[in-house]
Amino acid sequence: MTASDFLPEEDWESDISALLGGLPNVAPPDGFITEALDHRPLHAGRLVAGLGAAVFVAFGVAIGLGGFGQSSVVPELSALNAQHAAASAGGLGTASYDSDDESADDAVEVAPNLDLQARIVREEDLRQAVYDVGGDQVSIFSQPGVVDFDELPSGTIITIEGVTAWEAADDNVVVLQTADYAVTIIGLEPAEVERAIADIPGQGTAAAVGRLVNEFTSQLGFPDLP
Amino acid sequence: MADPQRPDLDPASVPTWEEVAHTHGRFLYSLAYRLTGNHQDTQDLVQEVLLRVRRGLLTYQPGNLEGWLSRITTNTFLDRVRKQKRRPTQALPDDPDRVIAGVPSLEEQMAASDLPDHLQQLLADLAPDFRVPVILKDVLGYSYEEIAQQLDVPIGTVRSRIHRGRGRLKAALTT
Repeated sequence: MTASDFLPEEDWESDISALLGGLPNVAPPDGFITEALDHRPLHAGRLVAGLGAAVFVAFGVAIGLGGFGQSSVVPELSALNAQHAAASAGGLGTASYDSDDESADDAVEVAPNLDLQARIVREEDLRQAVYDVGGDQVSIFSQPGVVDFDELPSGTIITIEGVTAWEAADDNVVVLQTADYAVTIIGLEPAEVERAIADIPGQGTAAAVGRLVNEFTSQLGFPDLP
Repeated sequence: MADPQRPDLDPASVPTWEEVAHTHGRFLYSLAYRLTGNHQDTQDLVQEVLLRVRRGLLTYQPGNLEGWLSRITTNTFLDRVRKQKRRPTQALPDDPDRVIAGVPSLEEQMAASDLPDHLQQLLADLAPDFRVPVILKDVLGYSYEEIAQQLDVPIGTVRSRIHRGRGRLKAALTT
């Protein structure tokens, strides 16, 4: 209690406070906490499924396609943010910004059975997938190399399902290190990224990732796994 | 302060994620419900909170666990409000002293059997900037100082928002 807590309140304020103080506890449904601990999506439905698929693709591609070496990478976040903003402003399915890669428009339809739309843009080694998830637009960038976390701006280093990641202090930006790739996800809160990754079935097993990559790579325009 | 909505806590130890969820899940759920006003959003919010808790426990220093959980919950709620731009809040009358003649008194309102649901709806209609401090103060019993720390706003702002939030609730109850 502080001095300000003892300042007089008007009677009507005390009445309102008493009313609110009398509100009963609200118990969670039976089994809810256990299910929440198991990461099972409850009502998020399309959102979680969509994010899971999106991140799954990013992980699959990042983990499944190696051979680019281990050069140090510091994602240029301002540039990626601008690229994300440009893509988001243009909406999906339209030519919202230039790309020299004509095959980009051929790779728009990704995982249509998962109710996602995406555009893949490849500029040299940088790849961007733009997803429309529940009305929010999310970009996933991947580029070969090992993230130099020390060179990223002020943020927090975290571990998501065993994967090292960095989250921005204020913006919805997460940078992940997966195998030979730096993956930057823009437009999702870190907790949503974590939830999406946690909901990926079989994530962490090479075989599952391999199957997934082979399932999606033709649509993504990437080569199949050996 | 003894409050049935605030669980007993052991400030000296760092619980596991599962312990937090099982021991304080009811507290989190109840707070989340008061913030969101419906069970579906509550469950989504609690799930997100639990993920943030799991991550936060890696660096958590033993102390006021309840306050820490409350801070995570309210911040997560406010983040979601900002991000999702949920349905516009319905502006309630801004004059707390305005009382329309012939309407039930607060005492009569308190006696109404469906008051909790009605009150919850009025809470949900409050703008989040008012709703959160009012809930922290009047539902959970935090001090102004604690609320100011949780929300990272000046204590004067907390007092003002709570006063105005209560006023809007009063005006809504008496119309």
